[in-house]
Amino acid sequence: MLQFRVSPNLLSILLIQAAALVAAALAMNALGGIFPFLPGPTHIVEEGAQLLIRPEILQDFGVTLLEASFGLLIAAGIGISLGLVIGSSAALVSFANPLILALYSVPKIVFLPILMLIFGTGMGPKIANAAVHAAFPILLNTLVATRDTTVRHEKLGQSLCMTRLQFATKILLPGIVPPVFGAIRLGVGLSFMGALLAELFQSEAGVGHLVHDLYNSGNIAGMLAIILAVLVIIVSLNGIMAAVENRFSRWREI
Amino acid sequence: MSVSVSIENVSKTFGVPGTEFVAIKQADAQIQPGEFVSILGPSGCGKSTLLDMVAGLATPSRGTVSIHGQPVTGPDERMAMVFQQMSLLPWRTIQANVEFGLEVRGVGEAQRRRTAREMIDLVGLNGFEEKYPSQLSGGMNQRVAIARALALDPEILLMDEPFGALDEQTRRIMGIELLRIWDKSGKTIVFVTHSISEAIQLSDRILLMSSRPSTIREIIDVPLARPRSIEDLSSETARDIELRVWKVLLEETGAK
Repeated sequence: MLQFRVSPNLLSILLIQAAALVAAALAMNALGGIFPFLPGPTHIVEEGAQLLIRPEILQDFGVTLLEASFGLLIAAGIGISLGLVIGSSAALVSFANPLILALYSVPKIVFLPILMLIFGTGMGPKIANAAVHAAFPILLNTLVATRDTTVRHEKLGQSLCMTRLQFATKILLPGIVPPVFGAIRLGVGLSFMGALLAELFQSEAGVGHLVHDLYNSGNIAGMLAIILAVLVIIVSLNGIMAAVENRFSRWREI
Repeated sequence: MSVSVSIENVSKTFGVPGTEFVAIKQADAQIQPGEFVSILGPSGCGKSTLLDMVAGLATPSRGTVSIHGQPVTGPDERMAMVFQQMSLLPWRTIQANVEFGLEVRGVGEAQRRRTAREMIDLVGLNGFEEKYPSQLSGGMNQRVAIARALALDPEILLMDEPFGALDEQTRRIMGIELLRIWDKSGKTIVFVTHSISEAIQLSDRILLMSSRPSTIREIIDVPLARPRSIEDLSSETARDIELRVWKVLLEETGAK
């Protein structure tokens, strides 16, 4: 069972966050005076309430959620296994590190045309783009954690005559769980970003497509409402992941 | 009684020919069963390397280390190691950490639990079985590391600066605790340290190493009564030993 504790500290944080939201809404109102094309918060909420009950719009969210999820799954699979393999060898780390860091610092969107050439249209390139976006932090964190854990506990393993399999299952895998989980959490937002970017570029469905349509039809309030909904989804997913993470690594608390 | 650990004509060279460097040039020592021996020397002199060779974690380039006359070819069950700080597995409880070595060796769960409880009791951590390392102090964590090693019931306990990260007071108290445990268990202990006072507090003999390329420069007896009181440790005998060690160390490091 998941347990949530609400401490006074958490409460004050929530209050401050609520206050920040109100301030943002007021700021938008004020900005609306300067830029007349910017809709006010009430307008956005009204428009959102109308849009977000329409089945075809919910379907768009479903498409993006699906793309992001598959992308994250692929990113986790590739990132974790590659990170484990590379991180297990000091030589491989020094060989691969500059390559990974170079790729890491490139805006991933530049790979989208290539992905579209490979996967065509439809969900394929969106999933691939989501995976490309989420894979790097997962790969890097797995790699670094694998190296750290191996180096730290190498002598323990040797002195106990542990087999490679024993070392992997009893030391390495449990040792890398927290940083890898943290990276997957980062990957949630990144995979959404990847899917949305690909949709904005070219799509027939999905939230990116929807935002593009709303913009083209001049429904700025609707567009902003959809963007807000995306933010809410990402923040909620992050919260759920954090709760699961805490549940499985109670030893890190205190 | 036969010699427990015998270090004969041991040297250790690192690197490939051409760019190699000699870590240990020549080391010879005999350690008796039940003896408490410290390895002391200037930093970087290869104390841990020497210990690793005794443990079978490193192979001498020349010479042999043997246990009861049998050459060491790799880690074996007669030895257990206690490492520097942070060697516990943070995701395991204290109980599970102490059981770890036994688990790896395939000891059954009931036996494992019993042995671990005994060892936790021996190091004075009753009531902390279900805590995690992050919930305990540095000194307590090192008690757990000692319990983990003792649970394997080794004949020889190899300790690599186990109290190096602790503050002076905790370190002194851990030393007293270690001597109590040593007295009860009758193990042979080889203890690497860079603290002169710790070596005097604990050891029967001190292997004093020179700087690199190192040799065992002197083997110093510590003829203080046991258990050692705080008065014994500031007696004239203790101060003479400290002075002698300091003179060698300063000479070795070139600081006069």
